[in-house]
Amino acid sequence: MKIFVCVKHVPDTAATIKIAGDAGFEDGEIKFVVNPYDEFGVEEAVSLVEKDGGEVVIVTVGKAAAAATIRGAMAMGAHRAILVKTDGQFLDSALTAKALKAAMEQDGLGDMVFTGKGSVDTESFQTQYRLAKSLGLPVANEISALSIDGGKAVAEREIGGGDKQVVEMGLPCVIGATKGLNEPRYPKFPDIMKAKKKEIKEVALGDLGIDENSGSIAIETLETVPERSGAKMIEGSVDDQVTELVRILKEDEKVL
Amino acid sequence: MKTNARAVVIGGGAIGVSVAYHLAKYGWNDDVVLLEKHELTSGSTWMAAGNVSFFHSNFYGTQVNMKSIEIFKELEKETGQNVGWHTTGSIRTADNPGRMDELGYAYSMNRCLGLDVSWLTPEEIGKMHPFIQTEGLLGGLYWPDDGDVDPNSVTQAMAKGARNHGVEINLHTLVQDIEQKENGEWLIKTDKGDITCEHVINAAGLWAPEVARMVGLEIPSIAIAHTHILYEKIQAIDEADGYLPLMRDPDKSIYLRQEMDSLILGMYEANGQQWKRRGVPWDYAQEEINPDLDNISDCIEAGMERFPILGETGFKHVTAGPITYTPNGDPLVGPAAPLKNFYHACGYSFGITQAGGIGHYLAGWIMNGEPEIDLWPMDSRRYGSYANWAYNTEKIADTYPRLYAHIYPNEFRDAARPNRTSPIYEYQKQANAVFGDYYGWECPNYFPPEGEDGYEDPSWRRTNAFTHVAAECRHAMEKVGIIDLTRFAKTMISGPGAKAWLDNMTCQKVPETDGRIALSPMLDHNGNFKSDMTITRINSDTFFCVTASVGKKHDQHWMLENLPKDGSVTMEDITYENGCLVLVGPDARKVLEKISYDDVSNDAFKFGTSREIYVGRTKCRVNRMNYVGELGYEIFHPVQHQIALYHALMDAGAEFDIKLIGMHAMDSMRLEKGYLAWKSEMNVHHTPLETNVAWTVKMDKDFIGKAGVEKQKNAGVPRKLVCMVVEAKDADAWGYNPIFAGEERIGMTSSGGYGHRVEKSIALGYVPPEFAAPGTALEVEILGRKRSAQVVAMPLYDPKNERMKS
Amino acid sequence: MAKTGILIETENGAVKDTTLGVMTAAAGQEIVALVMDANPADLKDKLAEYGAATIVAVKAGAGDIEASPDLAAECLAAAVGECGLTALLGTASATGRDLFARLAAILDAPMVSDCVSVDLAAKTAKKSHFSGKTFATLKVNADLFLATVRPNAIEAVAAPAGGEIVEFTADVADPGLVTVKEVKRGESGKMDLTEAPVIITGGRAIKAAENYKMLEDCAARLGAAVGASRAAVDAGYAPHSMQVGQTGKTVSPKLYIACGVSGAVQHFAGMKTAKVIVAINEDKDAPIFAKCDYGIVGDIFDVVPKLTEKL
Repeated sequence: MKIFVCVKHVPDTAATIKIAGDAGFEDGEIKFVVNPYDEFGVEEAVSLVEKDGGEVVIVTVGKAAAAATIRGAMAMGAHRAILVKTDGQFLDSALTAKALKAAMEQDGLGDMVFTGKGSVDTESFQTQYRLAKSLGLPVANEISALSIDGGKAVAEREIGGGDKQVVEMGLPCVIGATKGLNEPRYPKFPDIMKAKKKEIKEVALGDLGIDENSGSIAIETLETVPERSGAKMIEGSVDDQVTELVRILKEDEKVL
Repeated sequence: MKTNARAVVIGGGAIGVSVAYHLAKYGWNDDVVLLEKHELTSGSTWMAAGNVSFFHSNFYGTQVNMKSIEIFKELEKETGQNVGWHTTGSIRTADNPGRMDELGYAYSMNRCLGLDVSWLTPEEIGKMHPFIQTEGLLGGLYWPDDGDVDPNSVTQAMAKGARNHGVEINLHTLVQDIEQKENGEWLIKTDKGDITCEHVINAAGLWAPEVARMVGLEIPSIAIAHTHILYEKIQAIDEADGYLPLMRDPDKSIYLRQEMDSLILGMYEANGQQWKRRGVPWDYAQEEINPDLDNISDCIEAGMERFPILGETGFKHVTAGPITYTPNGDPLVGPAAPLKNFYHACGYSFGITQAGGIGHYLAGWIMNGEPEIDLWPMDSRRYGSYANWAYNTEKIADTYPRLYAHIYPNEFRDAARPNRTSPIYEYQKQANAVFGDYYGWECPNYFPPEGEDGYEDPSWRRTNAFTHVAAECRHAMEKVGIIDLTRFAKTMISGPGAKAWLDNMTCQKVPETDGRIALSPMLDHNGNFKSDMTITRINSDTFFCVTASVGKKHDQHWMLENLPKDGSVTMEDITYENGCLVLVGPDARKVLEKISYDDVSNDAFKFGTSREIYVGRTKCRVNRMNYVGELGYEIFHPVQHQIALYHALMDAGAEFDIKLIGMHAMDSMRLEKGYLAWKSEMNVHHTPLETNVAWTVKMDKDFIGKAGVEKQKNAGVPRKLVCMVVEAKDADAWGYNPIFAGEERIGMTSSGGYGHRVEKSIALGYVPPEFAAPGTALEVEILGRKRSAQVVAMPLYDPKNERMKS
Repeated sequence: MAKTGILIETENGAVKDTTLGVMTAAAGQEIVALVMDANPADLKDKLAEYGAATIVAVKAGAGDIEASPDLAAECLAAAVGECGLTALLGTASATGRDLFARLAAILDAPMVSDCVSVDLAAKTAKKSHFSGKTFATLKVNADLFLATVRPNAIEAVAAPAGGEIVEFTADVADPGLVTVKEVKRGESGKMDLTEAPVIITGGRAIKAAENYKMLEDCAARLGAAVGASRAAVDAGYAPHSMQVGQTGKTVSPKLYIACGVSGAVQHFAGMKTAKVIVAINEDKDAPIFAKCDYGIVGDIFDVVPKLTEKL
């Protein structure tokens, strides 16, 4: 099997995002990681290949610095990688899908494509759908269980409230992985060292015939949500405090 | 926020919170305010590994650690806040003989403090840590009482204690500027308003240099990204009871400790990455830095060699965060020269281990005016103006990877050198000098013969320098030599109030006649040694004071703090305008006679006097005294004349075989003479009454510390300084060696070495008076082994001082 | 007036409350309510009350919409054309997220997910980036504006309109790529920490392992998962798998209730992206109060049972 895993280079969820200019952020020093949902995809792909043979190819669209993140994914067991290099920090989902498709076609299409259910940076949750559509493949997202048998994939999709939708697809297909699908392995140091020697083929976005500035969604402004600066203290008797808290959570915050 | 306080602590990390907590606890209560620009712990504390152990290369640093452990264990009882303390014990391993010597030094020094520390064989180490591969290890030391804490919990517990005692902790309060008012009070300007206070403590960690800059100071502290790795769950650890000991393998530059169900590996890699060279941005808070695995891969591999399981276990999280480092890895603590009531508590690289203790000791220092233990090794004043940003940048690149490197008493690293040099530096080099650096000064340690390797093997034992130093000592004893002491700190005290003021500053009588010199200890408020100077009376209103070079900032700060405000006394630092070449040896006068235009005969120029004379064409201030106990002259001169003077002396001395002599020989000779060294014999734990300079204490006048001395006199002197001859073969005492009478530990050495003129191994140390009589048989432990020693009369060499006076 | 479609979501034959907020997002536009999974007649009153000028019952000419998400998306795409919509909004629910992503792919049109506000005139939408740490305002440069709106982000306001029901049967082929075989109902067991919408965490003040039962009772009412602080894990009150924080799990629920947690920086590293943080602690100086949204000073053994009771 040849399996592609789309991996995004994203800031660590614990990193502080500092705004740079109107619509960018300072990415020079903050910690970047493999998009956490993509790790489930990498783990699934590597497990499949470990079982049945084949190769796992990481495909990433991002800035040159993404190479470090790709190494992290390869330390989990992927065999090689393709990095489609961009200049900007953000590329809209449609262009990203185009780039992924072009890179895969250039490399030779595979038997499966994994992505994460979404990325924790732009949180757009759609690239895998666009990629699947353009490749003419079935796609299912938010997959927490998967079995592949007889040229078919049967997957469980998280649809909220603990409910799961069971879907069936033919192969090849595109699977958006989420928590529950597996426990991504923690890379061991020898694997990290091996990953340094694995191939990363770099391609410029423009060389795939894609104009980075042709996107149809643009970020006009990016603004930080201010950090909490102290609690609103709820006073009164225990009964009053709890009554007020429940009211706030239901009516003001709408989280209950 | 309060607008007035007695003390304001800037910085809410483990260190700052501890200082505030202790200040309040010891009585300043709600007169203490802490300012933190973000949240508590958000600078470096948050990423600390939390190892807490007794081990410190320094005797006093060890005591700070001991105090921390005591405090951390008590905190929960006092505050109800758990600190996450685990007693795990710790093991420090050695895989080479040099490291074993270092452990031997630590073992002996720890025993001076009564610590529970024991030797382990490689087999024993293997039994105590199931994952270690002991091949290649020679042994290790084990401290059963070491452990770890949760750095955040311990900080929060101290914060709780601080609040309970009245401290106002202001979070999200950024200090923007600090001004000193006319009356000496400090005005601290923050983004939440101003606050006036008497004392300021700079515990700003990563931002301590910025805070220092607000009051015009440059301090040598920079940030380096320190990395530790949390491994994924290890089944065997998850299932085991108890805790694995903290392991330190300094030869591999790593530490390893249990964290929950797994292990944390920390390291000091070869190429530590300085972070934010030009200063850490104010808005940085608790942010992980991108770890650079390539840079630490050697250490990780070394870890896998020692602990093979690390190669089979995944990285759960790699944490890299900034931690402060100073040129030698020790912090910057105490009064900030030349300011009054401004203190540093920063530059910490092992901040959790030391936080509790330093809070206690610094609070005491601030409140009582004197430290309870001698904190000189961490005193910010140990660095002079040479330790600027660029120096620090170069120096720390060398220090960081060596934080676990061998500690040797005689090692002077090449990094960030030279800084200050005497004008004759090039001549010293031509004479094949092996240099040491002292307070930024390049100073020859010894002069091996031409063709010999210009490098002293770092060792706790006698080195390749031994025979060369012996030759220099013999030369001083038989012929004549020049010792370069240009680095001496020199202060001119003048004005109508000069004499009276000096009289109060020292327990000695200030010379009454022009040209007289007096050895004049300065004491602290408790009567213990603050410093030591030689005062030369130039005229009734002008005194030339010379103090140790390394103590320059410390001593001049002390003088400045005590200087009257009325202008009756003027203090002028003339260190850098004046050099000093010391001519020593029986032929010294013959050399001087040849080139001096003045009468320098013994009658005209007596021992213990000072004259202004021409030496060659250079007008010099010459003091007939020295630190080696031979006929000798300290020739002070305008530094721009030094090369001319040097040539004059060397030319005149050629027929007497004049040679350059280095620091090692001087130190050997001063031990033979029983001359005290600052911070070895003379420190805050001893009064002059305990020593052979008791005669300098003149009780018929007032002076700072008199009450303390009087008290000791009345109570009886509890210990005496003795000179011991030790049966040592290849390693001499260095100081901090325990002294035993039978099985009982009765004292500690203050310094030691080999006396080449008397050909004996010498140790100086303090013991109870009943053991001080010459002839008393004692034992001195050197590198973990007890050696026979005998108390001898001081001084060993030329007891009647005939040579000096000849 | 520009026509904006709203994909109506229903539950047990009634309009979901979250959908009404999405309708309000299109206030000022001619609203076309697209209904795919219920009888429009049952929804008419509600949809009219909240601004639907027209209610379109979208049906597939052939095939089972329920079993083929691609067919549903094709039908929706056809409806967009048929109704002449310039915008289509839906809810960022499990269904909405999937359907809109398929729709956007079919139409090759830009789509903004999980918006907290939209400006249909300006064709901009505001949404979270970086796990709630920033908001991005996105500009859509296309004729058709597609977006899903975060549930409850926009408060529903009634704006009565005609609510005329029309039917539209899409003449599209079922791509037949993905087939829904069944829906498994979730077990009402313990919820996973990382995915839980609500988390209630016990710190060291919980004092004993058995006291977590009190939090579990409360969690059952909240639909929450139960977490622990490092101090509680360290004290042996909870297993390491429950630990939230730097050396434990990183979570981002909509509601985080910290009970007897002091608020270590390391703990915050694991949960600071929660939408709402509530702290209950006996110590009024506990650092957690400096960094949460709502605080109650009190004994967790008084407050938590009371909270369970009131929920």
